[in-house]
Amino acid sequence: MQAKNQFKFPGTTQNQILTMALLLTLGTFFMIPGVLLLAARFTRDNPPDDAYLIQQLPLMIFAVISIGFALRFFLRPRWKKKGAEFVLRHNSLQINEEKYSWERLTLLSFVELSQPPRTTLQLFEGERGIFILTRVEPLMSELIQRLREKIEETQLPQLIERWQQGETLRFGNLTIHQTQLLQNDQVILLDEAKSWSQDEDGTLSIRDRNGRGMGIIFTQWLPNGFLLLPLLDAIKGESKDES
Amino acid sequence: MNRKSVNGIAWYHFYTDTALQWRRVGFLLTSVIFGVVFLVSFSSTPASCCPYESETEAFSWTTTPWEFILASGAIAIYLGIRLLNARAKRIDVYDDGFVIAARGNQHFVRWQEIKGMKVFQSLLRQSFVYRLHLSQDQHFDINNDIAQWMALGALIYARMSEVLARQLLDTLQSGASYSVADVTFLPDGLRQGEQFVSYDDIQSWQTDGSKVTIRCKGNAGVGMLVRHSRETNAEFLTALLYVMLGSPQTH
Repeated sequence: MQAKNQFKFPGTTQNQILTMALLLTLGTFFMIPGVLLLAARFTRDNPPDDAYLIQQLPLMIFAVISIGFALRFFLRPRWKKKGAEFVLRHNSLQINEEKYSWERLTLLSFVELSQPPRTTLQLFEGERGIFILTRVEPLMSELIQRLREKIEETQLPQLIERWQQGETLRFGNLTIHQTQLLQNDQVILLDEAKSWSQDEDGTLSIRDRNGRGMGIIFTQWLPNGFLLLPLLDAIKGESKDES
Repeated sequence: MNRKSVNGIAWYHFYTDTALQWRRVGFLLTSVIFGVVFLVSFSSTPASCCPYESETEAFSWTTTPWEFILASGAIAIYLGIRLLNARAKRIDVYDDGFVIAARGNQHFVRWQEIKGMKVFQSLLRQSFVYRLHLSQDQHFDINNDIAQWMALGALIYARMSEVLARQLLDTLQSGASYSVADVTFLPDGLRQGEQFVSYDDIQSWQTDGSKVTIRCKGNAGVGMLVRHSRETNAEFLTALLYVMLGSPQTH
């Protein structure tokens, strides 16, 4: 079965355009009597009673709110109007017209426990933010999974090589030195780490040879944090816990 | 400390939920306008149109409509200022802390500076609130004013758990004890009141959000039951048990 390489998120739909047109029409229609009364109030020698003007206020408010909602469509980001299309190519990721190399991509994603749950995907080229997408579609989790696979496939061998050459690797506030993992004040000595396990939510627990805890890392909140477990497996060359 | 002195990259950005703020202002403003129109309708009704003289007197309003309009305008201005202030609130999460930018001021909070966190339900907001205690008399609330506030709460929970885990392990290594809610972590086991369970005797543990159940080896499931309290840092009990005992359900 061929893996899906194209993910399309639609922009403004025809229904939304019709809703916008309806709101604009209704807003304008409700606005007319109030505007005419207001104009008469300040221009005519024999102005209408203020009470009439005040009675028009609710309609005026509804009109302003309707027009405001309609105008929100114009203020949406470009990708929301046009939609976003991800094409996963062999060497690069294409988002609409722009292409980005897999080697430099950094991925962050989180799920907000709203109803329905919304997933946010953030992409960086190195450390420069290039794209943010928040959607509720199930397609999001599939896209994130495919992006992770491609990034792991490209970047993991490079990370292992860099570490073997003595470089320090960095995942947000976590740095991997030759002998230790360092995160804020947390120091985990790699020589003492015997086993590690990761939950479905990405929580990584590292234990010593006596089975005692050495630290906890919430990899889901780290840039490219999903690479940490395979990286640890590779650089330690030891089996992880079965959990 | 301002943003210029912060090292690293702001990986996460959180903003005020402007749609929610607009809905609140719209609701309140509409209510005020309806109230004004309702009162003005009665005050401007000619006495001759009402067959019951006493009713007309009962509903007549002595003030002029413009005073209501001024009052509602003042409320609208107040709400508008609140909205503008709320719109300015922005939280950028960096590697070593986060910056709160609100009303032209910026405040940087390092993860280590947070003294504690408490999660409670606000009846007024009908949602949970993450309260971060920054010092004895200073706190910062993460609530549904901020779009994706639950994600921000979870992110801060994760970062603080990592800091507290380090504190716990250092404390135990020095031979001292570390308390969270009514559970005390000792170098060789857990204590709750008079009850003590050794780490070596623990078979598994699990949590269902309201309580933590710790089961012992060969003891017909008898172990320790810890009910979640609303004390400061009580939420971190699960994370610290994770550090000491590994994943829930296994040990």
